[in-house]
Amino acid sequence: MTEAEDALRRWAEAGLIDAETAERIRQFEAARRREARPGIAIPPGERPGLVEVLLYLGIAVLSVGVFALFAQGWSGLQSLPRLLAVGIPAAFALLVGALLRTLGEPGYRRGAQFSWAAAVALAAGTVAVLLYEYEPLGISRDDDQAAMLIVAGVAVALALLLWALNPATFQVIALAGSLFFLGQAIGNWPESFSARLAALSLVAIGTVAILLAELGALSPRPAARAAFAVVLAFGAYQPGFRDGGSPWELLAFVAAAALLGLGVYRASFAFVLTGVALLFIALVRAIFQNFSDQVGAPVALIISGALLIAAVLLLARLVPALRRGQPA
Amino acid sequence: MSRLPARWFAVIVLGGLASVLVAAVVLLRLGVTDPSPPSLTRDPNPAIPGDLLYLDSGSCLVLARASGESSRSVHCTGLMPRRLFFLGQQEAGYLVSSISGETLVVVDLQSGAEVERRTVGPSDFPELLAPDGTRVFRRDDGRLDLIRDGAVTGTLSFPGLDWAPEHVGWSPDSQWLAFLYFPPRERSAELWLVSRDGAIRGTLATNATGSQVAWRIEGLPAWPAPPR
Repeated sequence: MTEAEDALRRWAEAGLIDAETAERIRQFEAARRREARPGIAIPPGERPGLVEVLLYLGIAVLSVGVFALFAQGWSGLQSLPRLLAVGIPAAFALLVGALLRTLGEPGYRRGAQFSWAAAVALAAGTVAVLLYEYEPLGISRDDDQAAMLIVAGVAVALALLLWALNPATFQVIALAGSLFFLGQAIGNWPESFSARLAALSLVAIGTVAILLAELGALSPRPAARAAFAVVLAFGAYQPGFRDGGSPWELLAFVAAAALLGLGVYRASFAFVLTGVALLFIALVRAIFQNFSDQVGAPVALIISGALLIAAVLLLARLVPALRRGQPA
Repeated sequence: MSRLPARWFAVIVLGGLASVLVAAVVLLRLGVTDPSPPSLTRDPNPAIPGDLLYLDSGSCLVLARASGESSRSVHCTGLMPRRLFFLGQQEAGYLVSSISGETLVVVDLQSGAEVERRTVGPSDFPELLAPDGTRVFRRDDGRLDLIRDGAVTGTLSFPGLDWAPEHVGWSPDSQWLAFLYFPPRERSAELWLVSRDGAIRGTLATNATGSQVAWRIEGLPAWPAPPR
């Protein structure tokens, strides 16, 4: 029993308020709580059920089975069985997703999202196997760069189509994942992997996607914000700490500041959390990469610890304001 | 859930952006650097001395001026020889392995004809040492250290590559190195010549193969030394 409920019962027993007034107070407080924290009130059907959980489990087991096949019996299979071993689960996941969407229940709709997200990964795997086994269009199996770009392009195209048909959380995650893969494939195109090319692609993709989310064109907005903030943050971090130092290191700090500013301006916890995480990781990495020789590892660790505390305090300062939906 | 037009607007924007990025890198080659040094056949460099013997992608011996001024195919081996040698001014040789041991096939450089085959003693080529004893040490960061008498005497870097090309030979004066670079997308290996200090570089051939080249400079013993 909550403290408020306890007080109401005590006041009713003492005759200070009647039962009708106590009930009206209960309803008023419940409505106020729902308004303040809409996530607490779960409409019927929104809570995941047993059937839905089993559905997720089935799709996950199916996907894991395909990858386990790679690890174990792959070398013993001919080309066609290899292609079918990935292609059939991909087609099955697409079909299951389409079927579940027609059932209408919220749980089944979420299952459809999950199934279609898995279908994107399995379809990408199917194209990769097709390229490797049959070398179509003169694309050699040794040409990893072209193959990776084609696989990523197919994954992005399918993820975009499925998101357009069903703009839901898992479709946004699949879209962000496939665009992230495309960014890495672009970085992989030159003779040696170019972290800068990959990073610039990811920053461009993340920025445009966040802009679309804020304009309301990329939905659901919370998922789009979180997924593409991570894409942007990873892209901004990638070149400075792989290809060797400044000025590319600065990109991570600029992106972190932009995410923090946007998070405060748009009252988005996802932006703030990603910005703080990026700022923390980039600062620690920059200290160890550039100054650990001068200050020594223990001092670098102390500074890192202080930065972690500062990051937590910054989050603690911003979170209440974000919950209220107001700038800090 | 967003309205249909807004949804398709997002699809067009994101799909268009992805297409533009791919086209910029693949078609326009924006941000793509070519790690290969300038072609010596197009623009010969007289500063690079001597003659080289290397294998082309058809396993034929090619005799080339190191400066890039000229080259000609001498003799097709039909296999992948282990080692190449200059044997005086008129002859070259290559080692092939057989059940009885190593066989040295001697070829006339003018006519390209096989002159003789003889069995040579077990030869040991653990690494490609320079005539002055310098050895190449491959570092994890894609650079190569040149080590002589236990001290690093120089470092070669290869911008645009994560992994240094394969070292395949030294010039007889120990001032030049030969490398094989294997580019992606099934292009044939390139034969690069690089000065010891890394300042002068050139691509001598774009159809090379094998694991070693032979080099000769007038007035110096050819390198590597032929087997006894």
